[in-house]
Formats: sequence, C-alpha cells, structure tokens
Amino acid sequence: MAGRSGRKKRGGRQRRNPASELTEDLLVEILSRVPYKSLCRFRCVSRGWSMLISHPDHRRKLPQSLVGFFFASHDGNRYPESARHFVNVSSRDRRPPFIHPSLSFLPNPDCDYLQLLFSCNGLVLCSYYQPGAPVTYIVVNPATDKWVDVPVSPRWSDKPPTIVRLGFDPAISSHFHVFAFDIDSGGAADNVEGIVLGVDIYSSKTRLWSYKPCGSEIWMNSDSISRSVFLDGMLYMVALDHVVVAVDVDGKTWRVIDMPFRSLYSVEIIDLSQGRLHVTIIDNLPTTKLSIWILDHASEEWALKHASFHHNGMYPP
Amino acid sequence: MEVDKGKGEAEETRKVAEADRDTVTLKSSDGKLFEVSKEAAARLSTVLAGMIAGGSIDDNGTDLKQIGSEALENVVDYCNKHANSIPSAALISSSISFNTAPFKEPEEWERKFVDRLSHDALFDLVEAANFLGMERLLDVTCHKISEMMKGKSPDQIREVFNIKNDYTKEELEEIRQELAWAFYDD
Repeated sequence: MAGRSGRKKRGGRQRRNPASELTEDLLVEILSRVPYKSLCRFRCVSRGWSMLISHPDHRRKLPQSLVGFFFASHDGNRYPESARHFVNVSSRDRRPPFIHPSLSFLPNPDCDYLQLLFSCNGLVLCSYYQPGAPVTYIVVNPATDKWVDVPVSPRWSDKPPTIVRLGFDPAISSHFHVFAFDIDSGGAADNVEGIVLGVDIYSSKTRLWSYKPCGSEIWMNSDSISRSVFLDGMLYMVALDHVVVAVDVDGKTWRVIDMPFRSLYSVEIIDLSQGRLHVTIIDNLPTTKLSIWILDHASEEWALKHASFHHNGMYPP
Repeated sequence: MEVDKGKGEAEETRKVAEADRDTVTLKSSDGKLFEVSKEAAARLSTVLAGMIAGGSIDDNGTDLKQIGSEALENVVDYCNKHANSIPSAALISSSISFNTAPFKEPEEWERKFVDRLSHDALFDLVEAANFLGMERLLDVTCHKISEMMKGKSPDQIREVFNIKNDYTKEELEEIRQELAWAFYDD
C-alpha cells in the first residue's frame, strides 16, 4: 500500500478507501467467514488474493478446498460387483477424475482385497484382506501415487485390532501416525461393547509401534465405524456414552469430552472444519432434530452453530 | 501535548483520582476525546484492559493515534450499548431449548449497530477493533463484511477493495474455467 499515502483527500479527488488498507490478517479474518463458493470465486480477483486464499498458513482458517472424494459401490447385477469411484467437487465440467480410483499403482488394488478405510488431510488408510492371511494396512497418497506398508504390530498375533485410524497433519509434520485401539469386550463373541484398555500407536518417523494404556474409563464398540479427526496432534473419536475421546500421538494424554447434550436415541458424527472440531447430532426422538456444534478446545465447551427441527422426521411422534 | 511540570505529588494525586474514576478518556488521532465505562472497556478490549491494569491510562485522554474520531466514536458507542444490552436468552429462533454455550452469531442489536454504518466507517471500525483487541466487535464487523461480500463477482470485489486485476486475459480465462462451478448462484 506504499505510495498511496501521498495523496490525501485534501487535494485530489481521490477518495480515501479504508477497505483497500486492510492488513492481510484482517482480510483472512473476513474471508474465513465467506462461504466456500464465494471464496473460490474470489481467487479471480487478483494474483495476491489467489495466493492469500491458497496459502498454507491460511488453510486452517479458511474454508477448505476439497478436490474430491472416494466412494465405493456394490451391485450384484454388475461385474465387478464392487467398485471404487472418485468424484471431483471443484469442477462441474466432465473432466476425468483428478484421482483415478483404480489406484493401479498399488500392488494389489482389487476392490475385493483393498478397502479404503479413512482419510486424513490427503492420506488414506487402507486395509488388505486376503483369504487365509491376517489383515494388513497401508497408507496411500493418491495424489502422488505413493504408498507405504504399515508393519504388523507384535501385539496383533493374538489379537488383531478392530479400530484402526490415521493421524496426519502436513502443517505439523510430514510423518503420520496409525492408532490401533485395544478393546476388551469380555470374551463373548457377539459382544461388541468393550472397555478401551489402551492404544497401539505407529509412527512413520520411528517406524515403530508403541503401546500405551488408556488413562480413563472409555467404552467403545469394537466394530465402531466412527470417523476420526486429527487436530493439533490429537486423534478424536466418538465413543459410547455420548463422549468424544482424544488421545495424543504419544498415547500419554487422553481426554474425554462430553457431547453438548445427551439423548437416548441420538447419533453423533464428528468432523473437522476450518481447524475446529465439529459434531453433528441427530436426535431422533420424539422428533428429528439436527444440530451442529463447534468445540472450543481451551474450555472444552461446545457452541451451537446450526440447528434444524423436523416435526415429521424419520420417526413420527 | 502537555508537559508534566511537578512530578511526584501531583502525579500521585492524579493517579489516585484516576483509579477512583469509573470511566476512561480516549483520544482519537484527530484529538477528540471520548469517555467510556472502565468496566466495559476492560471487558471488551484486551488492549484497554492491559492499559488499565498497567496504569498507562491518561486522565487527559489516552492517545489512540491509530484510530480516527469517527471510528473511536463507534467503538465507544459499541461499548456503551454492550454494557446496556441484556444477553438474549433465546439464542436460536427455534423451539429447541439447547441450554448451552453462547451462539457466535451477532445479536439483533449488534446487527443493527453495524447495519447503520457507512461502508468506510465499517472498515475503519474493523481496523479499530483489531487494534484494540476487541474480539467480539471484530467478530461482528467481519461477519457484516463477509455478508456484504457473499455472492459478489470478482469485479464487484475489486471495486470494493480497490484492487487492480493483475491477471492476464489468458490466466483469468483458465482460472474461470477451472472454477466455473463457483460462478453459479450461491
């Protein structure tokens, strides 16, 4: 903005424009509140704005640019029955997917064996099921066609893990962590509810697994399909009894955060948006209520972001 | 600018008197004075809270050289209104009674407060709120500006922020094609 200070409104007809004097920080503060679609459009404003919007330092603050997503389909009247797909979200034209869903660079990408489990900031945790062999895991970067094996933990020989999640944050480190939760469901085969005994954590930096006992009483379903969120070096998951649990990459710090409210028939889904943990709560009785909450990490309190209310929801009163 | 003649005793009495006052006087870049409740100033502005705690408040008007009189008037107005506003109990306009943390959306009076500001006054106020560390006012003003920007075309944005389009025609065409979906209605 240098050079502009010379012409004050006194002489010339040039009007003072405070909007053009905003600092970058303030501009980011404002842009972080603009809807994603408008934000993308504003990349056309100037090179400076485009750089500001896509700059890694601001990524956490601004609405994220999602390139696309994978999904799987299954159809018994089709060959192959199982298929993987990738959809671009940032382009409406009929361009081919940015990522080819075949993942043909992998040694055995067949859908019958390879399953995409969870993604975290661009990396994908996948599992390999092969008849007669224990499940193994790999971490894939679909954008670069690179992948690495996650070695089998020594603890898995007698008890393979059922809840395995990925933690990766390129803003903190280029290394990832894999978390395998150790659940004790009391021996009964049909019992999925169990207490968390500890977590086995793999670091791609040391290439070692290390086991840490759980510091709190936490219950999870051993077949939990809860998404995980990796934020500030901690992995968050939804556990039983309407809580979010978090564990750090060293397995030393555990946090248990109560959901904003408890209801017998509510379903909770966590996710990450603009650098903050969000939870969506679907409360089905007596009518369907949907609410989205943001966690304030310092105070561990939730703030309501959106709520909707359906009188004739899925379960009529 | 006044020069302190006899420091010591005079200074002492002045400080005592100041500590007793329940308002602080702020001086804008163009020399105008404004009074604001000390309690509200300390609660709403981290910078003023620090100055009050640190005793660096000047009885004759604490110099805020970065803030013009119009913006400072709005800051003071906001502080006073905030002190008088009753926190609204119904934070969301539905029949659900979520009895929890405050909603970050601006409240009705805050909305009205920023709605009546001129374009320039709004941007000056954002700067002032930022300078004074007034998180809530920053929130409210940024929210208002983002609402103004929503749905605008790049051309309109360039006009508002006085930005020169430095793309070549070809570059712009390429980005526009890539972002074609973002040019449909919000």
